[in-house]
Amino acid sequence: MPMKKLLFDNLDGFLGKALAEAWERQGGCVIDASCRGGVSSALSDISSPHGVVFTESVIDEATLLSKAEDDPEQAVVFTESLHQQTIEFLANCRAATQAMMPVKQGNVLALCVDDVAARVLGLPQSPIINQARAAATKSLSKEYGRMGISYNTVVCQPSREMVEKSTWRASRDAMKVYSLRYSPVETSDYISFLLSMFDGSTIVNGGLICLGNGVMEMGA
Amino acid sequence: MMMTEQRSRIALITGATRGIGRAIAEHFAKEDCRLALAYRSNRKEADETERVLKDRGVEVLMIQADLTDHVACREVVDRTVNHFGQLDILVNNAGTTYDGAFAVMKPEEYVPLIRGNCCAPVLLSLYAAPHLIASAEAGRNGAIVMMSSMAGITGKEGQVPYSTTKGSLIGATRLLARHFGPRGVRVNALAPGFIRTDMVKALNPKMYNHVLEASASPRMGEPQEVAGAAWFLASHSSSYINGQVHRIDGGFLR
Repeated sequence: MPMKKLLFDNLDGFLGKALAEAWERQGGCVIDASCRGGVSSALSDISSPHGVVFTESVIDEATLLSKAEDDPEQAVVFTESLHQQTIEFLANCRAATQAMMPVKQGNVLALCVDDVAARVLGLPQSPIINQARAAATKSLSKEYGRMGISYNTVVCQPSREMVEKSTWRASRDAMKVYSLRYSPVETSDYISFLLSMFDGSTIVNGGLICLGNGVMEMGA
Repeated sequence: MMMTEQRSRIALITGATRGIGRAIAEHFAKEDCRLALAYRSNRKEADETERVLKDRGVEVLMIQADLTDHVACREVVDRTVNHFGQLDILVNNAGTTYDGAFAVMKPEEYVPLIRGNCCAPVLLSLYAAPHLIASAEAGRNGAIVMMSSMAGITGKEGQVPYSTTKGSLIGATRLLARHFGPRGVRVNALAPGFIRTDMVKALNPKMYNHVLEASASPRMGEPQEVAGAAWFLASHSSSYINGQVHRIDGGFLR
């Protein structure tokens, strides 16, 4: 039985890395596309990927926006970053789709971190790229879901391990705005759910799934 | 801050010579706005729009600009402010689509779409922001209205790049609202469904019937119906609405 290959665009994100480690622990094969010339290039080298994972963006759009506000050159830098990320994401989705179409199966998962909770906890916020990913995966599922390929976007609140204990303590009241007695989710709980998306036990295609406790903006 | 006098507000509207943009321009003119209207290339439509509005006594500045060029985005805002001395409303309406099977689409075919639909509205908003903040401080209710799309919320087969750009505008709306809201500038988005414009003229009869069947209001929307909502979001009537996306789709409950 060949090992099931899961291709990651990179392993820069905390959740993406945790998912990759869990996939390997259960006997799967992890391929980091960033070490192989990108997703398109990696896909041309491997046959029948079980899935492609786009890890959460670590680019802080809020910081880029703050820099851009008073500096026209930084404004261009900000929008060029958006442009580059969008182009790259679409190109990678296209490559993944082309690789999965012949075998009529595959899973494409875009991981995101909820920007509302990220803001409260001082983590990078990427609402623009998150929403772009969600819209793209919904459209792709409508277009290619009939070919057995699933496309989903999962938005997670930051897990307990993503933030220092002292930050959680300091942010407790702010998080109460969203959920009384807010309690962060363990990374392992997120990973259990994410793994289920690759074993066929979760029937979802074109989903925008929000994980965590309390109200989250993207799921509203 | 109460705003009772909308007269003398200056609105910059992109993609303003046809379809929804033209309807917005005409509606804002009725609300006594003075208008800077950006258009990409169709001089004939621009002249016609200018003539109609000037005949009604509206002060109009027509600006030809390719908004996929960041320099042009800057110039559009600068020319508006240089001409009118202020800017109170920005309507990021301009947008194009490139439809087809995504798996065989060439990246060079949809790259301009991303620049025009996603990057340009963000750039224009950033360049307009100091003027909109000044507008808010002067009690003129600085506001940005983004034109997203139902496709950006629900996704749409055959429109992967388009829906992606319209989704990104939803995120941009929230990010910009959060950033500029404390200084009095509101940023909201509209997500029109099937509106009777050139962009949906190519809809085949089968698809048209499907739209009717799937809609709580079984008809296509008119550009004027979007224009009314755009004015609501730009006006003081929506003074406590910020960072939101409003669907205008006749209850398309697909």
